[in-house]
Amino acid sequence: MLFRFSIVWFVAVVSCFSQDSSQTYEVYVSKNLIGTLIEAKIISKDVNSCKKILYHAFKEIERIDSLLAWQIPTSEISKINSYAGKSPVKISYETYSILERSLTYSDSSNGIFDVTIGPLTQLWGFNGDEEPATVPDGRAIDSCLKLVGYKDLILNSNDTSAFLKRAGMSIDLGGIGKGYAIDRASDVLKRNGLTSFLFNAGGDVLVSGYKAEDQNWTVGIKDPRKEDKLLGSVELTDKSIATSGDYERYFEVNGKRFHHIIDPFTGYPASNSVSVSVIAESAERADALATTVFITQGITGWQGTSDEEFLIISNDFTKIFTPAFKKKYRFKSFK
Amino acid sequence: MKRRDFLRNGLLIAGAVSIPGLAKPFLSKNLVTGTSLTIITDDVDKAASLGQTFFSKLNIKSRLKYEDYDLIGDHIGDLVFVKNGVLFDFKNSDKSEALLLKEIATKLHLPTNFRNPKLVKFIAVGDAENSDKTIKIFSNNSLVKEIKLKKELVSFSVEGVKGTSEFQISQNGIKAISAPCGHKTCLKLGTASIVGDSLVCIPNKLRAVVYGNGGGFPDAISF
Repeated sequence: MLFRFSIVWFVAVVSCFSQDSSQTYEVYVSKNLIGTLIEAKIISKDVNSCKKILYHAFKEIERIDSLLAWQIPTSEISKINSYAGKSPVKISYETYSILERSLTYSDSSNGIFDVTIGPLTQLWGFNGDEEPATVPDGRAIDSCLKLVGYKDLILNSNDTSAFLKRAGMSIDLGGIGKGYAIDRASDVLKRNGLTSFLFNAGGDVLVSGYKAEDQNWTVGIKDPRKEDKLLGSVELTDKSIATSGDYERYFEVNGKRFHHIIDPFTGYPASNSVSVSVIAESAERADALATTVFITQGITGWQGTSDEEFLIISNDFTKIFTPAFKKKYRFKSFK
Repeated sequence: MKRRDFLRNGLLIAGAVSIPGLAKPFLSKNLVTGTSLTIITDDVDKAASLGQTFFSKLNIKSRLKYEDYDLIGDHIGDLVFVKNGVLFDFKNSDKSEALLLKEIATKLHLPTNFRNPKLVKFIAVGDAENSDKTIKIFSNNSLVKEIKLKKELVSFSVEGVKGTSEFQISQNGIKAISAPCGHKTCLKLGTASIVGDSLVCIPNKLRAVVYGNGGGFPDAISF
């Protein structure tokens, strides 16, 4: 089986480089996967070999979802959640690694980014089957808050196990799952010789290489209050951009908006920002950082790299840019 | 897809109309833009390969996009080539392009009736100002409708896995006006009008995506 798979892989890769046509194609594929729309655009001289490789990239995304989605009962994250307060669960090195990095993000953000936020996100119900329409009871929020705390997620590197110390705790990787999935899909393409492509997983965008000779990929950033407008665009190569906003999953009560990005310290939707876009080296980091900065409306405490840049739209609609966001990535305002 | 609809869609792709009675002309400036090859086939790999060979001989200067989509139900397999905004009647031509297209049709056994075939498209990227927007509607990852933005309001329904969703289309874009799922997130997304923007109903496995083939549109939208 492995031999047959290797032959298919080899043929796909070889044919990818064997085209003598000078014409390049932008191959576009889109699918509803992992609870969102995944789009891929790949620059290639050979459509068919490109599609074969892309098939494996999409399979990789599905595989990651089957490991990490708390909504899937057989996922490793679901197993950890179901054994909360009981016993550690041995997990794959991959799941272990992403949890380990999640704890690093938590430490870097002083707990603002917290993957043990599961009880709160489930209470608010934005990821459920029904439309949430009411603010949860304050006592229920307080009860859930007691079950949130990344320091009670215990990882053991000796046997790659994970343990949530208290019953009722649960992990929700919604803050980085999509980003991680397209990072890995990107690796699949690169391993097979494709270097110029774009993935868009529900607004988390990863780009590699160039769209055309000396032409960067252009990514628009949505206006948080005018659905038919863009705030602007940036030009990227070998970077990712993620945006967290209060305008897609929300409900209103007496004119007040309650959205899906929950502050793990208050138990309520964060209210400092309406939108935060982050450019980073990987989609996972951009994803995690967008959530964090959205809640804090600042980068206090984050041990980022110099390549990470933000555009924050504060709750009074002021645009706050980090110094290089505009210049380095050629931000073009559409207003 | 009926042959008439297929030809109309082929023309929509290029933003051009050249046969009276098949579709109404729209912006006249679009009549001189757009080159595309659209094929409905049951052999997507062969169609992609033949399409590439065809375009390599055409010496097209602009970038080319490739897309393929699943279609549901019975469709007439055929091909449509639009060159610089004009439908190319390859069946009644002896130009070199016509011979190549006839060869493609022969190799793909077109026209033929197919059940659940693929729609294969090669599209030359034009400039943004001369490119029309179209909306593609997908149900469970299959293309079920493709329409251009219209001046008048048009409502229509699409079946998803959970029931019927209703959409409204206008020159401003497309918006969802009813959904059978509990969450109804798509109703809150307002109007999708920017190329690359989409309305996605995850529970009903439906999505409406705004397409444009101009070179000036963003390649993706972060939201």
